[in-house]
Amino acid sequence: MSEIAVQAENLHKSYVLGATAVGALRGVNLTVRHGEFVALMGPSGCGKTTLLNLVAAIDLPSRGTIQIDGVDLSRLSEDQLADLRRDRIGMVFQFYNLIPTLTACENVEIPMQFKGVGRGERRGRALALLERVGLKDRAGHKPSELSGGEQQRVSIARALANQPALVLLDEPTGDLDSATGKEIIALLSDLNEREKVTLLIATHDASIAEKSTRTVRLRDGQIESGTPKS
Amino acid sequence: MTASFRYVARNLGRRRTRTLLGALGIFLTLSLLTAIQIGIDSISVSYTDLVALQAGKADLIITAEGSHWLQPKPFAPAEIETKLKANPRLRGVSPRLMGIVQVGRGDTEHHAVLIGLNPARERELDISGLSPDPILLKGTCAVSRSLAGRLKADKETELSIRSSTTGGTSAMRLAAVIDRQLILPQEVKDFIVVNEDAARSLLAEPERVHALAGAFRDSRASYDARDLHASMLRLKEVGETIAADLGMNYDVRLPKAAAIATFQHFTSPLRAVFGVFAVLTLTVTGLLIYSIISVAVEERIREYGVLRTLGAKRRDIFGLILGESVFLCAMGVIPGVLAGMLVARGILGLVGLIMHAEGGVITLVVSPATLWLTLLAGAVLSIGSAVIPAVKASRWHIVDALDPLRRGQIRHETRPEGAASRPLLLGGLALSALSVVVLFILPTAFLSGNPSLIGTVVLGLLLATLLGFTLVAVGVLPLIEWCVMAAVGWAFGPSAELARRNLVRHRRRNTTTALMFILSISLVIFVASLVVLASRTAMNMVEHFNGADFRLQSEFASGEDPKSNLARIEGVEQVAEARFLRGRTEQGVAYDVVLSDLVGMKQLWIVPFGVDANIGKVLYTDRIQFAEGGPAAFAKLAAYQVPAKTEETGPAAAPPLILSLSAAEYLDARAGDTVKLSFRLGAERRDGRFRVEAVCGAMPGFDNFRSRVANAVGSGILIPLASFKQMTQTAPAEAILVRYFLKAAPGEEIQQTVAKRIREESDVRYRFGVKSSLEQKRTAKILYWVTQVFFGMVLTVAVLISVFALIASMATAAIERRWEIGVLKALGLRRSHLFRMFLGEATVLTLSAGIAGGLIGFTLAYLFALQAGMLMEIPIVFTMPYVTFLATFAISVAAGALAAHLPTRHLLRKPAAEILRVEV
Repeated sequence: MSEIAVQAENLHKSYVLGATAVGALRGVNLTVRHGEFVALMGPSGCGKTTLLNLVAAIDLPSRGTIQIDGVDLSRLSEDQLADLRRDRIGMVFQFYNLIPTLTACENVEIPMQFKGVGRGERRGRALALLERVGLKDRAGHKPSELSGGEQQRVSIARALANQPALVLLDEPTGDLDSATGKEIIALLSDLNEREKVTLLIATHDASIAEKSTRTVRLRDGQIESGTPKS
Repeated sequence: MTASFRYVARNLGRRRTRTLLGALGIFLTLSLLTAIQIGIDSISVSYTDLVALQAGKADLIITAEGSHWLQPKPFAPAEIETKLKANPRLRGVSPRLMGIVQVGRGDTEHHAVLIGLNPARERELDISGLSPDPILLKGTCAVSRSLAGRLKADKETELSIRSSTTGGTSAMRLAAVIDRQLILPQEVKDFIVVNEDAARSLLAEPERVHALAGAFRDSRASYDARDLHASMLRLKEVGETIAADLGMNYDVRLPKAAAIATFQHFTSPLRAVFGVFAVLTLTVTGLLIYSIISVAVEERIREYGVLRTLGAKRRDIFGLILGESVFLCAMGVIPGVLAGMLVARGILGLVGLIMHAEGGVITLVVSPATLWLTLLAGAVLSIGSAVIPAVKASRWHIVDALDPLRRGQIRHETRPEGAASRPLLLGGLALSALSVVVLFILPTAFLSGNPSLIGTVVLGLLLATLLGFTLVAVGVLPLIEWCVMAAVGWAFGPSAELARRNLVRHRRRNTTTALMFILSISLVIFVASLVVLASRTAMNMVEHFNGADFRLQSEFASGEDPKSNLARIEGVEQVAEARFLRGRTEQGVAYDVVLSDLVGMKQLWIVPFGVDANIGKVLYTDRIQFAEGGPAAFAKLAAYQVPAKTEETGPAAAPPLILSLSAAEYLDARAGDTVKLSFRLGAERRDGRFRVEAVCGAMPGFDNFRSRVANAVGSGILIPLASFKQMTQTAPAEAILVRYFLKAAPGEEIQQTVAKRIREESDVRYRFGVKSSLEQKRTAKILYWVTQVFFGMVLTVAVLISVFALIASMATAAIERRWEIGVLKALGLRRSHLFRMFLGEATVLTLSAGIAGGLIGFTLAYLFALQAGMLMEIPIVFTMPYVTFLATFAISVAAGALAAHLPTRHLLRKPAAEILRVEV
């Protein structure tokens, strides 16, 4: 594994929205090392989510390159990208995006299922992850039976299922009250410090930025600044 | 796999109503189709057992060549029995003798057909064609119920029997009354059965017989219902071997095999019709499943996006959706097939109870092929319906799937260079396929003469036309909706505008619903129109073919003059006679009549009828289609007299002639023209000139009067009877056949009495086949009601399925528009207005689809009837099935109301906040 988790060079992303061409990213360069906790901040529409989507390999850049763990994403086929998402990237969304018909434990098992992990092992690891996020006793509950904070914890546990090199979070506390948000931030901080999970978080939440090792500010599709924490 | 199964199962459980609707739709379709298929299979199999009821139990009948039950030819059986003894397939033969006798009791005497047989031998071979099977000891006889009634005879009554031909007499005791015989044609009501010895004595035939009835070894194996066609071929081979062995002097018939072949001839097109019906029903159900799966996929597009971020590949998503469809269909297919078997068992049991009185039973047969076919249909349904939604879902970009606000807004791909134009490709393929069918397959099918193949190709083209019309209707549906909304929008108040806009907005998703409904309604109207048409046509055909109240045809010329006897019957007002030539005599002498123009440019083989002066008074003249001339032509025919030739008179005026339109067109002859008739009677030839007084496209009672040039050969002409006799002076009596037309006094009772008296007094003696228009119309009416009931049941189920599909579709639409409903409620729209909005949408959609479907069905039926009438040259009277049309309208409106009410009744009661709460 290389020292650098994410290497984005000269990233551009444009959309044709109706009759208008929108430049969401305009020449972004970003490097994230393993073990870093990076907060992406900026006003709405600055390109945070777009950048996150490109790093997560769920969207393709108009121009530029992205490397995850030294692997150039543009050289990968669609199936290889899917494998990358399954094995090396974990994603957490603002609105949790848990599968409503599955229990918390079953939601966490999904990435392992795609990897072909056996049922017993899958179940064991899922429970361990849920315990890690403090929800082992809620393993059998469906998302509709969990609070927002609990759902987000399950989402985090799911993102960690295949021990990814990188976890991407898009506004993880955006839909939570401040108290719950603090709990989530504490959990993320703990994951980063103890288990050296590399985090890249797009957020408006200043308290996340405080906990991060580096804050990267975006404006109008470009990086304004990328201050490391002293 | 277990996790995927669990995911799919829970998704179906999450939307229980939708899942139930889908499963129920499939259940109904599969149970209907399974029941019909099992029914057809069971009847086919059981028919081999039931056929004996119609054709008799004898497997083969040997007679002398040219022998007829009216004029049976005796032959010595010894030689044949010797030859047949060595045949391994034949178990044995039993002798039969026949003749015309007079049976009397006291002063009463009636003609009857005598059947002499060996009851013990027939029982041994299990070929008895009598029910009940009489013992027939010496000095005893059995008579038909009709004859017993006429003689007022009961068991033990003493009867006298006298042969007309030999003068032989005998006195016998009546031992049994026969209810049913399967030895002679069913029109023969008066018959007497005696044992072989008595018959030999009466008919003065000590050694010879008139027929040998035989039985095959292992009869059951010979009639293998699993493959009727192969079975018939095997039997035919056996029969042909025997016929070849016996030589040219004997006729060999296989009555049961012939009956089964006829049955197969009938069931093959029936299977083709059922096939088309099955395809249509499965299409409607397929659209229902497509609709349900589409909406389910639409609901879960974000979920699928999430799964892809977690590492799922496109094919995993594709598999999940297909799996959901397969699971859904399995819930309906398996119970549907089982229910179909039960329904078939129930109906066949009922039919069997009725038929058991006739001595037959229908065995329920569930063939593995049927089960596999229905399961295959279910599999194709489940996979076929889900393919498009599955492909669409797997092709979503992940980012678009995750963000509903982006969906459909951002263009991702441009068509790559070199990509084909899909609409042109599909259009071209469709046109090419149609052309191939019309140019190559259709003529081949018609030339094959195989009714099943012809039926399949024609029905396939009909289906293609139906689909084409349906697609056109879907294309113009917005226009129809606009018109319907303009007509009925006022009923929905202020919500009408919302409903109108929603119809435009949801055009794509409503297309599937409209397609389902249009297909179903058009099928219903099409079948209903054809059923009404068939019944009216059947009535018209009776009058067209009979030509008058009664039509009697003598098979054999008689020295007596039956016309005056018929005229004397009470109730008969007029009797007309028409004579025509047999094509070839028993001695092989050919009789041809050729019609040509005077210069011999064109010649046509025709069948002339010599008609007497009463013909115009007796025929149903309103059924005559005059192309040229009019009823005055009959007066000219009636008035014509053959002039006496003297030296002083010049050439005689040409006798009048009524020509068929097809012959007239072939010869380019018109009314007023003179044509030449050439009667070629063996070596003799007689020519005559005739003047065309009228040209007719159809002549009741003379079915060879045709209108199309393609049917000109063998078409008919009418000439005065006197001219006909003059032209056929040298023809032997046996060459002339006579047809009598009777006009009876009006009134059903009188006509029934006349029919009875003709049969009583004239049937056996004059050897007539009596056709009564009244009786045949009654039969046609009964058939009409039976087909109405049967098709009514089938169509009701078809309509139910489509209404069902409509409700399911609207239910899924309501679910899809939860958010919209919540927002509208939050903005202050009342529940009643919301309901009227849905009601407006649903009613306008269903009414529009109903109108389109009705017009398509009616148009298709009209075109079909027109074509059938042209091809078959039968009088077609097309009537709009008003009742069915109105019923369809009513169903459309009711379906729309139901479709609006059922899915929304719970949703509209909820507060806006509850509806708007984001589902996690």
